[in-house]
Amino acid sequence: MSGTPIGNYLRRLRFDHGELSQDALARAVGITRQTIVALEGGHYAPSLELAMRLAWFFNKRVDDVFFWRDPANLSINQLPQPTQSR
Amino acid sequence: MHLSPIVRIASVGISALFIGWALTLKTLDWPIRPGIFGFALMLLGALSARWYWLGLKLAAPGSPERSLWIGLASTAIIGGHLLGMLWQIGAKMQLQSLQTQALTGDNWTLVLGGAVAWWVARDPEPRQDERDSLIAAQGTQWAYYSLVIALILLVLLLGFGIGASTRQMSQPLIAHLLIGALMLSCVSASARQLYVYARDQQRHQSAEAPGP
Repeated sequence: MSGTPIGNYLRRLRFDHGELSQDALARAVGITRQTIVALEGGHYAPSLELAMRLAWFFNKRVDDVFFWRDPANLSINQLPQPTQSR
Repeated sequence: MHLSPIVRIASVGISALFIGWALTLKTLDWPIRPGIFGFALMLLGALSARWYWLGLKLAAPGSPERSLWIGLASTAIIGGHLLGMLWQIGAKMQLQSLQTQALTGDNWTLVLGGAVAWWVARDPEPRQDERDSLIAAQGTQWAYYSLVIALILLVLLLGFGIGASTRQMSQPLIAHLLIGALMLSCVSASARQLYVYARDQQRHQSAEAPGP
């Protein structure tokens, strides 16, 4: 779990929501404070479920909370190809 | 004093292993059964850890990390005791001997001590999430590799071991060596997980530290 390519605006969103503490946010979305610390520090990329729960809590879309740090280096060829439906 | 995560984890693991080993030493004149002494030591360690974590308040480690610290120390003490016990008794270990039974009694007292220590130092409000599960999976991976390495070493020892002591190995001794291999894998899993937690915390602290 080294630095992940996914960044987030969690810290800013917390402050925008009345300086919500890390612990309060963690409790609200059902995770630990340490995970909020790791997310804000960019050391952990959340699962889609957690990302959606966080976005839902702030009443935002996932894209408004999480972003690619370096989209220029994102190679589409490296991503798995979608399966073709018959 | 700031210690790197590896040094901190290794010092706890090695000290606990040494304490476990020391509890089997005949040369020490024990006023009580060494197992009871070890039990008291584990309880004292757990109470100290609980008090220390209580003082850290929000900066205190999470529920899984607390369990891992206690698990690492307890398993290393019990493992050290087991190794010392095997060293004392030697290859011709017999379950019915008085020495084996006394040492086994001590070992089970230490197992009980580990359970009590975990209960004392546990998080009063246990919480864990997907990140903890991911870190636990890394620990399981390390446990698997450690177990494979230990079993390969045992297979080599039993299959190609030279010398009278290898030939004289009794069934109980081999069974206890296998228990030792399992304990090694548990220690390895705990150490790996603690390292990942400590590394993340260290990165966070260095990111938070004011620049020059």
